[in-house]
Amino acid sequence: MTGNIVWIASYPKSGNTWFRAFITNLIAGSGSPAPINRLLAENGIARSLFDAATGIDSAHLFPEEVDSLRPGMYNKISASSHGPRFLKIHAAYQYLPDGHPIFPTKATRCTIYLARNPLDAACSYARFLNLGLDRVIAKMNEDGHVFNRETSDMSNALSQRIFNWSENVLSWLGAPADMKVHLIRYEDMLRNPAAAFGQAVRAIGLDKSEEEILRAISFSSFDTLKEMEDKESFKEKPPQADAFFHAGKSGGWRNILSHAQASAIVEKHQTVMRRLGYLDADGNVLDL
Amino acid sequence: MSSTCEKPRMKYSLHGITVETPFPCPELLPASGAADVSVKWGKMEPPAVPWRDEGVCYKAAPGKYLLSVKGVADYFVANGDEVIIDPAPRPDEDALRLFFYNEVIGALLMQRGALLLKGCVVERDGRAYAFTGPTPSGKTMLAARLAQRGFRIVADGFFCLTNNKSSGNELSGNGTPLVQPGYPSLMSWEKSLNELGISSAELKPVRTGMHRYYLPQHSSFHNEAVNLAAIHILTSHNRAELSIEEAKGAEKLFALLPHRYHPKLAASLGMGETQNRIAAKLANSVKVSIVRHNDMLIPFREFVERMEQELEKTTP
Repeated sequence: MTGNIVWIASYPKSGNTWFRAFITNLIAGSGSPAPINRLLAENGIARSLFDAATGIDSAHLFPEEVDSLRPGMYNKISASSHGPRFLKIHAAYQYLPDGHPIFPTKATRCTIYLARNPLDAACSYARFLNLGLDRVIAKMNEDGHVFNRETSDMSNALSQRIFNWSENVLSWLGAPADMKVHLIRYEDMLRNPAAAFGQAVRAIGLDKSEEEILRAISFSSFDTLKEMEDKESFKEKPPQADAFFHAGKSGGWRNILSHAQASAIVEKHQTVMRRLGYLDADGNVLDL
Repeated sequence: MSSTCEKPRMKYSLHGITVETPFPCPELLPASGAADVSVKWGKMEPPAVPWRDEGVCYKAAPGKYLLSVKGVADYFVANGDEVIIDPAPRPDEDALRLFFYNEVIGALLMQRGALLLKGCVVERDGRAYAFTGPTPSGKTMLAARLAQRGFRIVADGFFCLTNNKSSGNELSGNGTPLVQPGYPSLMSWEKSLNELGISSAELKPVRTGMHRYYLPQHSSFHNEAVNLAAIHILTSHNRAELSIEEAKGAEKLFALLPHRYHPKLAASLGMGETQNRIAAKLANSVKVSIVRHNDMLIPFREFVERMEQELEKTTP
């Protein structure tokens, strides 16, 4: 017996929105691209989801109280869903102090984990946050990094423990088998989208033809998303960023990061980068 | 606060009703006369009720509501006039009152046939202006600044309207909605207080250790029902401009409905249709505007000035 939630999990700026655009177009099955401001897959840490499922205003709770109620929240969301319910998540897979996972297997249909070369992710994340590269690299390298840890203010999202890049990847790849984690590399989505997205569709268990998958890939191409953002603005673009969809390529880091910046990332994350095929045995960064 | 000691019962008013409690509620205004709602300590036996909805922390059925907050209390609300509280051992008394004032009273008002919208209401010259919208969207901070500029606070957190005359909240004969006064405090985060130039040093946190505070409004609290002149739905967008767009016709209703306080709960309590009817009447009788802004791109001072100008436009 499985749940209904399909986790679209990733470290930030690793193709999560692109994948959501693909899934939205796949489910919609329309003859034209789905509007970018109506993407499926809600934010799995949205306060509104928490408040509705628990019946408690999250602003009345301490972060640890919120976390303790999140497994119940996801079980409730799963139980009230008919068919797959897509939730986006950037947090690491983690456990509560009592040993229970925050993301319960009972609520889970499967997990799509999207990974991207952290050198490119750093460049994209810096643009997204409108922060200097060194500050973003510090976040990506910070053990146990918490996003939105502010307790003197409130945002529309709950606090989430993203951890550092390697910890994030390893947490999901090391999750229990019942989480059914299917790993996709951003670079494979670029290089061979039909294969990468097709495997994801089969992992989720959606009954879609190759023609439907190819059309959804076309409707969620970088050029299409960028064109829509230019025309109508994208509500998920942070106010401080100039655009959400910027390059949509791999390897751009070579023209952006200094040697010291790239080294700081590679040194910290070389084990996981090697495991995912971003480094060769000699420690050279591979162009995928 | 003890469930074992008999203590004098106290009466307070909030949202147009009088509640009689076995514990002091320093954040509320004292009341006299007959109580609409009796609050008692009691041991909670799981009620034998076919629940219509079971959330993570609540259960609901027509006329029945149970809220369980771990480490604080179980609250049972029946028929809009009775609350039984079963406190946890040595609960944080501030927390016990916080959930009572909000989630519990919210459910009770729904049982009494009220429409509750998230947000706050300010008043000036006998007319009330409501700010609703997603959380957070600057509703309370705007109300706090307007209070510093001569407006009076009517409600914060949520505000309620109802057709049910027995509740004390009613729509007046000519169809113009009335909003009842909540209680004389705003709940504000420390960062917002800093923006308002207010120190939190002398303020009471809503829960021990939390950086969110009661900001007393005794001198600028409007303790009477007032006509609602306009509702502004505050939303955030990612542009460096503030836009105010008036909703027309059926758009008004569809714009308001998403901002009901715990909207699914009303249906579970069997009050969904009642709320829809009140919402439709509300939409037909007040101006509804959608305000899009961004607090990172538009200075707060400019936002407040624009909103004040907007409110003046709706003043006859």
